[in-house]
Amino acid sequence: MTLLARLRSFMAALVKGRRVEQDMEDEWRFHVEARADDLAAEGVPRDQAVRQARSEFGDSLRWKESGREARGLLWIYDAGADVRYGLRQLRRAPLFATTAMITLALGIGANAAIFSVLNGVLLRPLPYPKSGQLMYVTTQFPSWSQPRVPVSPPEYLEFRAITRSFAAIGAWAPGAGEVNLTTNEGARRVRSVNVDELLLQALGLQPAQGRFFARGETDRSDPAAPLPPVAILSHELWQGAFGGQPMVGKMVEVNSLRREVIGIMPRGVDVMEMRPEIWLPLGLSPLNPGDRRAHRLYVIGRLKDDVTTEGAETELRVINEQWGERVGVTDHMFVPMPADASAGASNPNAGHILQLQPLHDEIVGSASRAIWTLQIAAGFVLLIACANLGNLLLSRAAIRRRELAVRTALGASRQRLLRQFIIEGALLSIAASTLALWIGRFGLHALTQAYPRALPRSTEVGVDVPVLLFTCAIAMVTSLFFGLAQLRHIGTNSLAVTLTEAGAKGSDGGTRRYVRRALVVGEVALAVILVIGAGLLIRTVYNLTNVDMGFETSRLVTFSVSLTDRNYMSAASRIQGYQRVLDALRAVPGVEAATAMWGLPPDRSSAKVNTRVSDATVPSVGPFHVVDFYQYVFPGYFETMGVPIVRGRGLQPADAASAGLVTVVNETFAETFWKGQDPIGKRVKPCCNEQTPWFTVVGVAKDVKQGGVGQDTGTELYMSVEQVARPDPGLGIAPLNHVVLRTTLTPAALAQTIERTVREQLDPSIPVVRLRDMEAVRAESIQRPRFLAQLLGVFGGLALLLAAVGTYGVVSSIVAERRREIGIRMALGADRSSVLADVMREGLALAAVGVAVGLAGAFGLNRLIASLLFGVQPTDVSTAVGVAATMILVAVVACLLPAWRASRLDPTAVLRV
Amino acid sequence: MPPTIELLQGTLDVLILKAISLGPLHGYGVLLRIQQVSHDKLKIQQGSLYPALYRLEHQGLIASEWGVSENKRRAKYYRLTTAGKRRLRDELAYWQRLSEGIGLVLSAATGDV
Repeated sequence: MTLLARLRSFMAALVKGRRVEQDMEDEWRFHVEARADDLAAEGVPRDQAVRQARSEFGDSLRWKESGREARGLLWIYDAGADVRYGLRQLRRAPLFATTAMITLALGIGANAAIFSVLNGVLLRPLPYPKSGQLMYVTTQFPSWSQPRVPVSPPEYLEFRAITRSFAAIGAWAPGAGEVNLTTNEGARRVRSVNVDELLLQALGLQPAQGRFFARGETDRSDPAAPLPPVAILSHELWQGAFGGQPMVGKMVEVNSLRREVIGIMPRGVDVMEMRPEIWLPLGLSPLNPGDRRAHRLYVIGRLKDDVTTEGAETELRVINEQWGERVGVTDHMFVPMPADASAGASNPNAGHILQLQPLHDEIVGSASRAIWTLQIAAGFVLLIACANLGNLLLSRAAIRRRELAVRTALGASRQRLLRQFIIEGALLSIAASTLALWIGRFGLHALTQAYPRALPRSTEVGVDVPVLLFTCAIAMVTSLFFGLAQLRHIGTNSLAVTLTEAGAKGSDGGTRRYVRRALVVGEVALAVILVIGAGLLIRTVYNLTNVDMGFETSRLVTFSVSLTDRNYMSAASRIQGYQRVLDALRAVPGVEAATAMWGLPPDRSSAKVNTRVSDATVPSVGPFHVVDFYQYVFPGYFETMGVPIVRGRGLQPADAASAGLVTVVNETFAETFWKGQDPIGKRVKPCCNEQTPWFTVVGVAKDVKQGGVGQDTGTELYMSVEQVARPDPGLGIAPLNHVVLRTTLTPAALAQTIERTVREQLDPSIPVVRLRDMEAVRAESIQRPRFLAQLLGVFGGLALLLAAVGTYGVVSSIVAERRREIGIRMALGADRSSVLADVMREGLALAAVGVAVGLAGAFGLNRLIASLLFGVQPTDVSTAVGVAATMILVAVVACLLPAWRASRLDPTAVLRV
Repeated sequence: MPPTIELLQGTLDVLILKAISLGPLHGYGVLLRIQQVSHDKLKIQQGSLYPALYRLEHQGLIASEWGVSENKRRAKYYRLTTAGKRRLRDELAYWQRLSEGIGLVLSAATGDV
């Protein structure tokens, strides 16, 4: 209760402030007057009475001070005074204030931006309720290099029935990943996923409008039966394509099939970075689940409340061991790898097991190293900024020594001075962090715009409360650091010494000199580490850009059309449609060649396909070998793309009608499966079943990067779409997606022609998307390393600049300290060049020590980024040497001006003072 | 001038509380009442009264409001709050015990020991 009263009185005083002061004075005036009246009544003359009353009252200033103190207000008044004093001090040193503020703002801003990313991507839980319970369930194949393989429908359904650890398990499949959506404003391609109703339940999602898929709506009893024509729109698509009009219950046209919109997703809902705009039913058929080997389902489960990850893993281990008995299958079942690996060799399934991991790890796992690297780099920039500020403050402390000595002499306590410094620091920090937030926000916006897909969850990244707190915390720590840094210099010299030293002719305190030099060494070292890191990443990007992709990337323009329309349901009509477009485009002046294909290199996702390979020189997994990529192409593919045929021949238009089924393999394929043999004439049986006829190898093509520029090439099998679409191979529809033109024209110049061609030759409802040149495709495929290299480059540049400023500052102050000494030496006959050399030597010695420390640090730390590099070792000598040389050069430039100034000193002027 | 006694640290507060307990007073009135009741035996630096008043007010033991004095001047009057009354009661009991104890010790005759 008294606490409440205190608070009330305190708040009243705070709010009323001036009123309270006025009240005190009024009250005391009354006291003195009343006392004077009484004295006068006792017979004291009036004027004497007033005087006496006043003197009896005592020192009103003192009472005032203790009056404020009594109200717990003293520190506010003092702090107010300190703030005013601090602002005055900063105004009087605008150069210092500006430099300090900008330095700090850059340091804090970089950290605010990167911490936003760190927080948004890594720290914040996934945006689902109780997202820690979400597990990603995958399988494993010891023979595949991928650690996590999707689950096949039978495996999924069986696991769903057996497990007791999960409250809900659902699955999704990317399907085509995209569908054509026809709206009133024309056709657009939208990202799609196919989900079952259990997935939405497992994720804990609720529709923003309407409903989700009902039980059974995503299944079908017969694999051939049509699915219910329903769809759920994302909030973003609903806003973007339909202007937020009421849509639930309306029909939309998806791949020319009319579907009813049954619900709208809440804003920003995603599943495993697919960013779907439309959600469609998955369409499993529980009675006839299909091929056990078709690993196409992405399975997510939500653990029951009382089940831990370890508990679920234990259950999974048991399930893996007993799978065959419990499910009653003998073919392609889960079998743990036996302890003795050679024993497992007889069983092709050994090691094919179900596994789980937290969904969060799967989504952000690959990015976490990159983000932490950036956070460390940003931290380095802040440290360098702080070192610079430390320097600035120390030189300011030297200037302010007299001021401090005088204040101490007038009775300022050490505590009060410390508070003064902290307040000055806080003023700087607050100004700087305001600026920094702005920088951070701007930087973040620029980043997510420039590299939308370099990091997962980038739509969730923003400057929010934790980021603000983080920034404030940095600002507070720095302001404390300011205070303490300066306080060190109060009282190290006795007052008398400081005051009599007046002209500051004498040299400085020894410790300060060492501290300043250590700061320079430290910041040079940090800058070297950072710039080496940046250099390695830049080399990585350079290497990635210059990887031989296996085809001629210049003068290639590509776009994508997808013939999912009702009019193109048959393979023949689809191929004819593409053929018409290709023919029309070949006739365009400036277009030299045109082709179409299924998957566009260099960034396809690997589609390991079981394949029969005749006369293979390596053992198979069961009856099959695993081929990394299938590629369905039009004849003319190799010529248009500029892929050299190293043996035999390519695919030709004449193959379409010829009886023999032919295929072309890449070099890696030939070396992997037919090592030391002639691949021409060998045979492969693509995919699936015994009835599939053999395809004869007629040629070997040069390796083309398919699964990523920085990845190993993998085995690849080329087939002609025209042959595959024929009834005799029985392979069904050969998918086609991308058109590539060899042309001297730019994508922008071609845009209208292409759109008109597609409209005329195919259908107005088919959108043309991703029209760009091959260089853009390549750039996109190396987005993350480019993103890293660019950011680290900026940080490295900043670090170099700050280190240069720091070195300049310290060398300048060394010169200032040694003015008299230099003057004496020059008076005694030292020439200007020797003075110049002397100062340079001192500055460069500091830089050299810094570089040495930095190199040592870099060799230690850069190992951490080894996994982010391509084609360059973390301990790359040429990068290190180059950076060291750059740093020394920068130091030379930074030292030159103060050294030159020292050599221009006029000895008579210096010594006269 | 009669001999005066310097106040013990902390005793001013209880004197103020006691003075005000007899009825609302302004600062000068508090001073007069203490001097009057103590027959001028206690010496209070006049100004020092005010920080003490503010402290008590800050603690919620007394409350103040502006009023008009006997000589028609604007003056600030202090009165006890409920918490103040309780505190005064405690303090009085404490002083009672303390002075009894000290009195007994100081007045002890050789025979009592």
